Amino acid sequence: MAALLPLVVAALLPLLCASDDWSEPPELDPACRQRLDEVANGSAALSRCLVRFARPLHLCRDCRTQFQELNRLLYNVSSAPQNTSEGRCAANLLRSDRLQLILGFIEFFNKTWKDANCEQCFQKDGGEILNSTVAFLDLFDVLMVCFEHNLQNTSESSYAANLLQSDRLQLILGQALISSLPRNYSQLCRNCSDTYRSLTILYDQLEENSSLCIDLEDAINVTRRLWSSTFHCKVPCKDTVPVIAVSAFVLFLPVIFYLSSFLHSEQKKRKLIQPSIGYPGKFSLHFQPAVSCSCLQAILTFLCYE
Amino acid sequence: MANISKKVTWSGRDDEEEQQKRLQEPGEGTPLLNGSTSGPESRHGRQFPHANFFRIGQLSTVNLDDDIQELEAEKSPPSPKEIPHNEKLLSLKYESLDYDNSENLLFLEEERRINRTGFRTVEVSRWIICGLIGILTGLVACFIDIVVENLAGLKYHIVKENIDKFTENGGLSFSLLLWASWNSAFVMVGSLLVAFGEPIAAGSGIPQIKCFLNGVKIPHVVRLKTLVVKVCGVILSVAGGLAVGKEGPMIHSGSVIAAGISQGRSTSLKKDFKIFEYFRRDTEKRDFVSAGAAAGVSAAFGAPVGGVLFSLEEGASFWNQLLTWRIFFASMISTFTLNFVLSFYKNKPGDLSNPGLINFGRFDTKENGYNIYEIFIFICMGAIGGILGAVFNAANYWLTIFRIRYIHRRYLQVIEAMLVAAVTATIAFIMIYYSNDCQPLQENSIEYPLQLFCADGQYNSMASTFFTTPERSVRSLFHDPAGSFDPQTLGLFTLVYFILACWTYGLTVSAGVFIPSLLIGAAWGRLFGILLQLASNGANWADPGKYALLGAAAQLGGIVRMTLSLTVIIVEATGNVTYGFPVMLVLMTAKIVGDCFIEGLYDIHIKLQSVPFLHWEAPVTSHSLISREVMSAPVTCIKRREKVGVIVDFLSDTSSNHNGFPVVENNSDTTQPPRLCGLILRSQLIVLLKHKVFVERENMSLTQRRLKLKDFRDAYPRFPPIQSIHVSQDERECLMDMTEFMNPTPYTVPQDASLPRLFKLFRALGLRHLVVVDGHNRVVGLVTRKDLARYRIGREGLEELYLAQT
Repeated sequence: MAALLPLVVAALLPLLCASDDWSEPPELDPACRQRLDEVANGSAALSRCLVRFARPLHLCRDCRTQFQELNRLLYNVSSAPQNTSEGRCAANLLRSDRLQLILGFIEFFNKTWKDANCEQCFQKDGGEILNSTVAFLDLFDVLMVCFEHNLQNTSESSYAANLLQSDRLQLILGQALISSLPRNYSQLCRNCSDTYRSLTILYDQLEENSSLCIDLEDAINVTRRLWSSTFHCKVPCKDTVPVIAVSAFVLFLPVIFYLSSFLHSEQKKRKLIQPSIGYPGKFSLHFQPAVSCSCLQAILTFLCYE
Repeated sequence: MANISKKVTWSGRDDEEEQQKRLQEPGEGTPLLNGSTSGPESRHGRQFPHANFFRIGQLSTVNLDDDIQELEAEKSPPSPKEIPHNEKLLSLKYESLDYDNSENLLFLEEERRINRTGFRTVEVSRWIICGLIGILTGLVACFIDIVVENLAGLKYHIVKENIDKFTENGGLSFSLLLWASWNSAFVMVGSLLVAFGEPIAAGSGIPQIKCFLNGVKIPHVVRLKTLVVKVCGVILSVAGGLAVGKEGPMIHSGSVIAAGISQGRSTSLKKDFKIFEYFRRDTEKRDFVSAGAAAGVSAAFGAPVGGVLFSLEEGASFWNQLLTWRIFFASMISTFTLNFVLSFYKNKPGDLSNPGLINFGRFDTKENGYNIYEIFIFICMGAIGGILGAVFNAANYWLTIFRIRYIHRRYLQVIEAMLVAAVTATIAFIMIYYSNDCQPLQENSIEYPLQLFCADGQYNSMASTFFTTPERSVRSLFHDPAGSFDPQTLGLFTLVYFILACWTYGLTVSAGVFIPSLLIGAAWGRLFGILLQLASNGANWADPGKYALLGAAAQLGGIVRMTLSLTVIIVEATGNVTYGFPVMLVLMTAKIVGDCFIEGLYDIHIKLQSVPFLHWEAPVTSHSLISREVMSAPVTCIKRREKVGVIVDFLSDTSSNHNGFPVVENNSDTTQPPRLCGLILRSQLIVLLKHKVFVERENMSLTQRRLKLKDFRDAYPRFPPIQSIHVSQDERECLMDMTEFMNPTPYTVPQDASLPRLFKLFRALGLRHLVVVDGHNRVVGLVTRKDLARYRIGREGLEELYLAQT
């Protein structure tokens, strides 16, 4: 094996040298450099957007431009034909080392986008935002405004008409959380319940059509948390007494059943049948002593154990 | 059925008879050494508290006088003694299968006629049959799976809508009633089918198949009607929300399919396809039935190797090396068929990722290793599983005895099943109602999330275990991320489900015990894992899913006591070889611990059915019993040339339903009992009578067709009763010659062969009759399965069982 190795290397050497990457000078040519800068800027913009709109969640609505832009840049880079200088540039940028950093970034962005189901809120083939998405978000805004109005009625908070929706949400959360003392939200619950219900129904519809993205899911999560945990609007009607009565009745039935079948059903008896055992017939009497002996032994051993 | 005549012997004499006997033996009735005057019983077994279990002692006094007395006692007909049903009985209902080939002249003739290509055809058709068994078993499994999913889906959908509707406005008691009545309705139909259609289809069917493969003919067990009832029953009981699974019955279904296909006809439908006629006998059928059982396991768990091993471990008492590969073929085909058809059902044609009815999901994430110090924990879990399994079995044992004694009317059985269904729903509802364990909804985690009193966007975690089919609960216990279940939820669930499962098994519905056991085990295993995590401050080796899996294995092992096949089944069903060793350890410990207390569930049920089941070994302390003591005597023998009238009388004697008759030489010397020259079966005699194979007729018309082996096969397996055969007065005087038809070389043993020796012969060869002869080859007795199965090791040593009519 060891003797073969130099031979192999010698055979491969011309091949390696013929490869394009090998002949490339260490420095990038200016065009390629520019492309790299573009990609870097695009990535930076997208990352910034993603992080900025992570809370409250606005990914799909606000970062779509950046995402599409980055994708376009990358498509330009990678779709260049192999033998042109652009093709060489692409190979150099994307696949020339072990880390393959750019590809890794791209993969991360794509995965995030896919996990967030962002495209489901938009028309197919990268079109405009869906009407249903807009309708849902509008309804959500209406609900938030409703919450805010009612909160203001109960407490002395400042009312700003032109707040952004996200900021308004923050405001509501802040108010509800800061005033941790138990307050009576019953009026809020009554006034907003119609909107809340129609929002929930709309959500269920969208879920069925699978046109939900993370923005909408997050919106409904926040709403539900506010509705049930913060405002305690959902007071379940616990009808414990009838439930207990019915279940006690059902649980009691087997007891009656078993008791009555124990008392009234006649016990099943088995008729025993006498087995006809072998017995030493008169044709085998000559074996008798041996049998007696062995059996005597058996008895003796048994008695000993007794 | 023993070839014996009824005769009074040593045990269970009634008082009147004892009185009579005492009068015949003056002096014997006087007070004996210990002052007992309880009759001749005490004469024999006075020293022994359980005289009738110790025949060894009683035999010490056997002598000629005793013999005569017994003969005299025979004359006074004993009034049968009645006792309540218990486990120490052997039922006369069960007969043996004829696994021994009758090598008579017809057989030899046929063998000569079939040439080499003929045998090759037979061999090829064996493979074809195994393939067909696999395909059909897989299809039946698919059918069950799809129908259960849709029925249960419908039910849960309706109940869920109802609950959601009533949660806000009150009136949940109506939801409870709705749920309970849906359950009861499903179970009622299923139970009616079983109780009035085919009672043998009740339960999982594994004990019955075990008995069949052991050589016991359980009536109706492999009929088409049983299959239909079984399949419908399983669907209804699973859809009815009982604590049951559909995996055990698959084994029975596979066996019925195998028995049906291999015969090439259906007696129920009266349709004969005229194929596979060569396989119409018990021996061949048995081989195919073991293949069917394996195919059933394989379809149920997606575990083809596990199926083969299951057949080997639980089923086949007679294993044939050549058979293994064929059985494996059937298993493979079965799981592939299921996989393939389900891929179409799930709209992913060609995606073969559903190998079994139950899908345990994949266990191959990074944390799924185990560490050396965990082995001790696994052994502890095994011990817990063994103890819990023993408790389960003991409780079920008492419950089953109660059921046999008191709930034997069919309508009562149906009512009981319905009540259990209603109570199951009620308890589940109460548990869900009072559970405060709310978990946030995640994508696709559960199918029917019940919100009930949880906040919007959350679901009731108790409902994810109760409000779904048991298989799904098992999977969610295995795979739901840590923190999906509260410890209280799991503890309560374990307790409740344990009671429900124990109560449910043995009802008159067809249902298996695999899934409930797995579910109980998975619940306490997960609890165990969570507690370990708490105790070890969240060490990441304490993955609740892993402990759920091992708990499930421990619990199942503790209940059914399988080791080898269960290990392989679990390894195959989870697709994870890493846990092979822990699973094996856990199962072994569970078996060892459990066996200290009580037998496995299937063995208990076999015992309670009073089946003459032969275990692997004879009772260890039985070497002093010899064949003369064990055998039945006197024997009804048939002469080589016998009058038709005599044979008809023998056969139609209702008091002694004998099945095998030793054939003896016709000799003129009446003082000596004649020598044995063969053995003929009842079925053969009946076929001979039906075809009127009499010596006189043969002489009359030389052109008459000679009887072939085919005529015997055509009558198999339901030979007509003797009453249906008309024999005229003239014909009664005719003679029948057995020479051609009897088995000329039956197995015989001398009179002092020990019981273990007889046992080995029976067990290894699958015999039905064993003739006991004296030194001159004269028949002195006959040993049958029941004579051997009567002796058993009990708590106080060797016990003897009663024979009873059931």
